[in-house]
Amino acid sequence: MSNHQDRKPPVGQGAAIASLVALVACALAGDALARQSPAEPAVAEQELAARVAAIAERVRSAEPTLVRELPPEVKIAQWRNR
Amino acid sequence: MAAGSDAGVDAAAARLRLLVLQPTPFCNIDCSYCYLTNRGSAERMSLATLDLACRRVFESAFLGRELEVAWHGGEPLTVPLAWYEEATALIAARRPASVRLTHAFQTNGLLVDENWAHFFTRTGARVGLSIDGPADLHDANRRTRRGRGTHAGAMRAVRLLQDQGIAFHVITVLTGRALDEPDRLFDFYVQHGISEVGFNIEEIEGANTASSLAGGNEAKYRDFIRRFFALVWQAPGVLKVREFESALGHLLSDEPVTDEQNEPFAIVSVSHDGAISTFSPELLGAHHPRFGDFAFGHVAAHGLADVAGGAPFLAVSREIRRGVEACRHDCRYFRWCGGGAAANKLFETGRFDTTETMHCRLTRQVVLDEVIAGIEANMRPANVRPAYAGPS
Repeated sequence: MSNHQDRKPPVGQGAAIASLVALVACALAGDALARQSPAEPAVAEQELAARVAAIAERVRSAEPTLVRELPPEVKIAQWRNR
Repeated sequence: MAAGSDAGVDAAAARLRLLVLQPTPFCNIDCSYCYLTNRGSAERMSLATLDLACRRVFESAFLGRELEVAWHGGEPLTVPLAWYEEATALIAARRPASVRLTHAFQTNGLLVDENWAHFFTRTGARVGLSIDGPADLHDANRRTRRGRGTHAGAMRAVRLLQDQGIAFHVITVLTGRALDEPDRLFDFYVQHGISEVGFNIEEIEGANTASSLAGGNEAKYRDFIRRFFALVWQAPGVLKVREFESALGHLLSDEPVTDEQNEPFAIVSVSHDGAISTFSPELLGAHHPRFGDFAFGHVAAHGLADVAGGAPFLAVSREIRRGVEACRHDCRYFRWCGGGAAANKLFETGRFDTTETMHCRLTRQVVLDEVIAGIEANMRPANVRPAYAGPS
């Protein structure tokens, strides 16, 4: 298994791509410092809707524009072969 | 006719977004997991049939303001480039000025050359390459009829498109063997400059009646998705994965998800010989004892409104609608799924009015679970303040 440092595009193919996951990961980057342990079991057992609401609320507070301005392509399910 | 109990179509609400055109059922390779039964047939769509298909679609009240034309086979590039030059010109001539249209090709890449690359550039077509990762994983299933691997040819297409500056995405079919190798797959994409990936699963569909992901491998699939999400999260902006983008978009959206495979005429499929279908594109060409071949009409005889009023369409539409309502009632993931893929319900259970399938467990439930858990694992607990909240 290669380490994290290896996971960069080859020279010349490099610009960071626009990705919703990347935007959220960057928005929550500071949270990693506050989290000392893996997700508590109690959290994992919460009602799905409550867990999703907590994520949306946290993302909204970290990066308000992200939730308001979701790219249109992620608002509809897509046929998997495109 | 209102959508609902009779499962007809509300023309005011219907929005055709995807036209899947099958220029030929023929494929120049013979993948072990392919669902197409007639991929040895070299029949082709005539320009006259394409012209009729355009007329039927562009005159339809179902047409939205944006339409993607997906050329999907078989292997679409086995039809000569000259045919597509005429075909795209014909479509451009028939297209209403108010409709924004894009072309998309899903190809195994073996026939991609500089002429095709210029065509993709000229038409602005979106290109998807089918590559299952490193050579050993890819060549295990994606072989020629003589049993030779096709990885080298697919990678030549990657380099050619990159040299020409043409953006593309990759679709990888996950089989049981790939589930052990999330890190190796991730590294493969990154090292080859592949920045957008979609994971399809080996489905129980059509001619492929068993999947290496069934049974005990469902747990391994969950491990794979968990690890792959962690890799993507840890290297933001390096790799965009369709499943994670879609799941996160659904989680952050205020609007309930609908699945276009369950919406009548959101997708319209036209076969090489002019048969019209809707819902999941894989239905066209399949056969079922109760529903026949899912050809609900023919471009030579029927407009889309005629198809929507026909008994074959209505029988399928009613059963799909019952299945979606059953999902709405029974499934806690419904808000972020929309009722599953119609074709997978049929191929796995024999009916449309069922709920959970292997396909929905893997592609919807597991992905949502692991995206949620992956974010939670990186999210500050609600009762913990940021390390530095700024001056008070």
